[in-house]
Amino acid sequence: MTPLAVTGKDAWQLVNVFDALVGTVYGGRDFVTRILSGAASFTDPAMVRALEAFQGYAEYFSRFVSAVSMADSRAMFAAGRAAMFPGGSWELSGLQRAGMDGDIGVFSIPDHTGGPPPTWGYEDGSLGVSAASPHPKEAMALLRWMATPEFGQAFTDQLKQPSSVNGVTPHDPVLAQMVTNFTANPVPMMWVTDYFGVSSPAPYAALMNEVQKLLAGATTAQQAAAAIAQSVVEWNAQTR
Amino acid sequence: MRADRPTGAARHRNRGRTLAGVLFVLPALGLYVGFTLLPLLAVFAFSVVRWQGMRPEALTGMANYAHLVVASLLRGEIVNALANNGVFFLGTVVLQNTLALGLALLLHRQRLWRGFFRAVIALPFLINPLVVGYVWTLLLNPNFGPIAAVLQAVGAGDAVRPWLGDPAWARLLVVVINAWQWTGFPTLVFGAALAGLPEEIFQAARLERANGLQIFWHITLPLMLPTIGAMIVITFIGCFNTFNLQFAIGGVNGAPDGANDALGLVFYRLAFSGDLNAIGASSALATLTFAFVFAVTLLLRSLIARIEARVI
Repeated sequence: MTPLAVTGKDAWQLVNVFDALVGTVYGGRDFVTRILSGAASFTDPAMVRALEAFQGYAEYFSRFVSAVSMADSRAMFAAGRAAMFPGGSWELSGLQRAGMDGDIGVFSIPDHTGGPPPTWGYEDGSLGVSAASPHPKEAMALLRWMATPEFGQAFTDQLKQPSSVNGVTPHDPVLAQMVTNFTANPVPMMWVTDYFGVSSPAPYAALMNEVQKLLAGATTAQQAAAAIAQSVVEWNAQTR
Repeated sequence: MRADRPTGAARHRNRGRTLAGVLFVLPALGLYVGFTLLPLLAVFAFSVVRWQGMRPEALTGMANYAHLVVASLLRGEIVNALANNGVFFLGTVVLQNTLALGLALLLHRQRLWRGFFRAVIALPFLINPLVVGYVWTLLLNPNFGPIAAVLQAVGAGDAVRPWLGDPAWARLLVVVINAWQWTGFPTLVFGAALAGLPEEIFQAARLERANGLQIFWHITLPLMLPTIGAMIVITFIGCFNTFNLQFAIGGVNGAPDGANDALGLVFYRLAFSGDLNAIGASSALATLTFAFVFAVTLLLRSLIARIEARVI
């Protein structure tokens, strides 16, 4: 039995796995705040320690992890060949359809300093109406309906996703636990929010590539941290 | 001496032929201009503009081109992709074309079931490269794949590797998979070229008691050079415009560790990154890629023509 079903091949998921497993090592919300204010850098010892800790986790990943795709890791977990699967709420519906309904629970990785376990989250997709829309009234009517509890509840029940509409309660116990965990100690995923953008040279692209290299033994934690820091320099140069 | 001037009727006939020629060419010319020339010019025009999403903001001259070179992470990705395209081309030229020439020679001598074997060899290139890539990803999966299962069943489990997850293996295997798919095409082309070689030369060589190897080295190969040269040029263009196979095997980042990255994937990442100037940056890379492929194709053709002139 593999302890952790993780992809080493589909780099985008490694960003989520990185935060889930070692986010507390680099400092969670505090580090995110300090990065954004310029008080911290990705080359700080905390980040290097997090990258080293991630390397340490590799012994709990499946054999040949660098060749394991996202679909493989999901299939390993769904087939009972792996005990845990670090992922996001978006995986729940698929795993239940794969026959895991009622067989799974969820927890956030404990904070190694003893604090409340953080849960990482971000707004993945927002809706708006284009000012150039030829049907602004109809579009606004649709948008208003999508902001009602009726739509929010249906969205949560059908898609097994947390709704941003106030007053919606997830009926699925696993999703409800996810929302409870997130509400208790939410931390924004700085990599996939628009703090830095997500395309190269953004830290998101740098982290996914560097973590993949770490797993392949093609870089060190220090080199990976330096590459992520360099991506911020280039991102700033490109956007300002 | 006075040149014969065409009579009125002949002039009329010539004009009619010219008009018919123009009319026959027009549909193809229209398609070429509409779907090749204009998009090419449009991409170049996009590349000298700074974009704000879908809205052109200002003319920037060469700034988008400079960005590709100045941004060190992006430059690293482009250089790595270019090198991968180069390795992919060299590996494909050697493996695919050698294999194809061998198969074409075998089929040329083989009378029985020739059509069947030709069809079997040509079959893989009728499959979409994306499908080929995904199927080979499954076949080579070290945890669930049939190749790993067979190796383990025969006691050779130690030989199982994370084939497509190891940069060195992945670079090699993408060439092998590509050759598996495309060998049929040059095999057919070489087969047609072999069938067109004059039989008298071979009869004369056999009368002179030349052996098979001598005939191949001194007659077949030199006579095949124009076809082999054309095949090398086609392979070059295909290998530097590759996208589907690398995408299927290594995803959008050309995993593992960029070993399967290609210029086409870098373009894709730039174009669909969500960056506000995505159109400008990706158009600059597309223009540079086109210019590079075009220039090297001309060089290759000239080089091959010189070799042909010396050998034939």
